[in-house]
Amino acid sequence: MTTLIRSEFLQLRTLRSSYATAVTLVVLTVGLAWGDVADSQITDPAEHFASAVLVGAGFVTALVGALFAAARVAGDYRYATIVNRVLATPGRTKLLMGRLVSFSILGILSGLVATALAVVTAAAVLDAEGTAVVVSAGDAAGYVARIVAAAVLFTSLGALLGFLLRSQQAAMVAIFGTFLAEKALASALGDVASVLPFASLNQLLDPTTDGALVAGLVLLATTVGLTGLAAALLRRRDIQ
Amino acid sequence: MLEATAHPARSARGHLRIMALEAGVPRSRVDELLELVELSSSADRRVGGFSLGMRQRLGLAGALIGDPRVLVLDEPANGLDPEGVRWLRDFLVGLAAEGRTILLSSHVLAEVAQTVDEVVVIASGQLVVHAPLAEVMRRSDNRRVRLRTPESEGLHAALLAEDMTVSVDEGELVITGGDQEAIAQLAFDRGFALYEIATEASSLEDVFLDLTAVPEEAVR
Repeated sequence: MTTLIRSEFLQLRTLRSSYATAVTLVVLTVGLAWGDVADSQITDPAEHFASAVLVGAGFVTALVGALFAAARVAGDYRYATIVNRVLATPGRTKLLMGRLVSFSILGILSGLVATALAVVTAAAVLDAEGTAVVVSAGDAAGYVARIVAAAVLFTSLGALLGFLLRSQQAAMVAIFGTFLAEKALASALGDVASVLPFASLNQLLDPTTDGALVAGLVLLATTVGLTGLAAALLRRRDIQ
Repeated sequence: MLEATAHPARSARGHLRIMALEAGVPRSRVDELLELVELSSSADRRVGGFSLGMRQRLGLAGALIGDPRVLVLDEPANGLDPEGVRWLRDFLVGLAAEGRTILLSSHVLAEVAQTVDEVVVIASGQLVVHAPLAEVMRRSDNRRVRLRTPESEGLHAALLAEDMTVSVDEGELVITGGDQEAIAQLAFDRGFALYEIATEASSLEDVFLDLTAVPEEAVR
């Protein structure tokens, strides 16, 4: 498993798109955190600070992580490099789990970095406007936990979509399509809409609600379910 | 092996480093292999910009990452230019000289004939022959003698009288069923002048077609 994880990170390090994605993540995180606090009529600085951090870091790392992981895994099918991976690790379930662990680690790292960036950005903007915000250690830990959970779960979901669909285009369509479909069908679906991936993500990152734990568990259950499906299909399908 | 299955945006060195890590071999092996397949100067270029020949070399480097004693190569010369084909031939001969076994599967039999020591012919899932190349070539009954003479009609008749099969091709006699020495001796004994006489060696392709020919009754 250690070799699989080291291999995955070496694969990421040897592609320029990884660095481009990291830069995109930084720019979007800082931009969204900045925009969220700068454009607001601030009535509750602490709440705005929390919103800026959670949206800036959480939503960006989740979405960028999902897109990146899906593109990476599906790219292995596009360029037939999955052949090399399977030759090196004939146990396909082990291969799947290795990649999920690798992308989860990536999710944790990107979540932590994005949280730090969003906190610094939001604090700097509020400070420049003369607004002081005090965040308790418990609140800070809560932000980090929500953002890291969002990043890990969505990055894993992206990787699973890559394994399931084996096409970069199809994976992108599935991610953006789910986002748009959830928005369009929210009222028609009623309560069911609240357990869909992006609705769960919103709940997980919403500092004004108490539903973060449930939303996190719903996303975790979705991830586990898709992992089982991906493992079954990966064992059964030809790799090319 | 048609060519390296590498991400086009990754460098040759990066591709081999990943393979080395997964195979549990030291990183220094990557530079050794790049040198061996003569890709050192292009090691940090993206694989997507490689020619087919360079991709083949990279594929060979990948196959050699674990220093295997046995290599199985499927159509390794596919799509290579003449220079690449010669490089590949010399490379494989060099690897075999190190004591490795190389199983080369190919439909380019002229190239195979210049590279291999032993031939395995498989047809319809059955082993037809497994023997040294020279022995397989001797098995052919398609060897022909070609000669040029100013008295072709007379010599033609004389050869037919000896139960040989004779045809005329561009003014030359082409004979099957007799060897060069016997034909030359016959011409000398009967007083026919010969300007030129040579045995046309069968190609491995001819031998292959002979060995794998389906009997007519089987076709019916």
